[in-house]
Amino acid sequence: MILVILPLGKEPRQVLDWIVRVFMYTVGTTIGATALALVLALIGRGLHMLLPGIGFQWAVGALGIASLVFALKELNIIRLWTPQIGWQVPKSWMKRSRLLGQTAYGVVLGAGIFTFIPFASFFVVLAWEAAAGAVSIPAAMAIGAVYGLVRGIPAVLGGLSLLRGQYPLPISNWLIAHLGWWHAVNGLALLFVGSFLLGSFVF
Amino acid sequence: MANSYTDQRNEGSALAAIPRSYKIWVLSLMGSAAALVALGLWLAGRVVDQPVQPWTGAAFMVAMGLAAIVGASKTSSA
Repeated sequence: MILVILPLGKEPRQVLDWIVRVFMYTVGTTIGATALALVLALIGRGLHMLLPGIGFQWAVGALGIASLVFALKELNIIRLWTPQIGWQVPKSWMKRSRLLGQTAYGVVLGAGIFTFIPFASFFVVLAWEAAAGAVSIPAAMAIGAVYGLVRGIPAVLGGLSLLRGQYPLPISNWLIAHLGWWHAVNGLALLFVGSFLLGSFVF
Repeated sequence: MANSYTDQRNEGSALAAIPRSYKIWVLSLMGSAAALVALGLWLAGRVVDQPVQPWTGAAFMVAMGLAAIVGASKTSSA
């Protein structure tokens, strides 16, 4: 994705054009993730209204257990099937307008559920949005917004590196070549989250 | 008995054959994992005196941190 949103040249006009496109892409990722968080928050609120007898502490406990199980998957200790669509954003979206196309890319990639989901921790974030949204919809949307914003930032960094004369393909390749590290980081993060939530449930 | 002894010896040599860098990596990972579990439990015991509410305080910050990690990681695969 980083390579799709690169500036096409170093002329002021081209750089300005790129700034607008990368801004809209990042806005798109943030909107997509926030919108999904809103939907999940409403689902969480609906479930809470339907099942008022089930306290939040049980949701926290379930989320904690799920986090620890997903941590084992991320650390490659157990195999676990996770649902995903695996769709790829079509290039044809860029034909009519690069600006609109890249904004649409951002919205779809920001939502995250329409494309590959290689990291199980994503499901914990989605579940947490639903749990948090049951009481505070803005809190759930804030979690989604952070996720979406961070998804957009690498495009900005990739473009900036090109403007400084550094072609970002090695960076992109490096990111892909170290997928194992990202899984390890996700696994460790999930261990922390799981122990925090289960500790909160038990203590 | 002889087979058992041979198995044990093979196992020992197999462990010795593991590269040192890999052992360091595994030990670092296990150490980090144990430290993070302990940190999570300590944090939960310190900041919460009742079942944590996922929209408040420390739990909210932890959720935001996890969202940032997932966002950055997922970008590497897009």
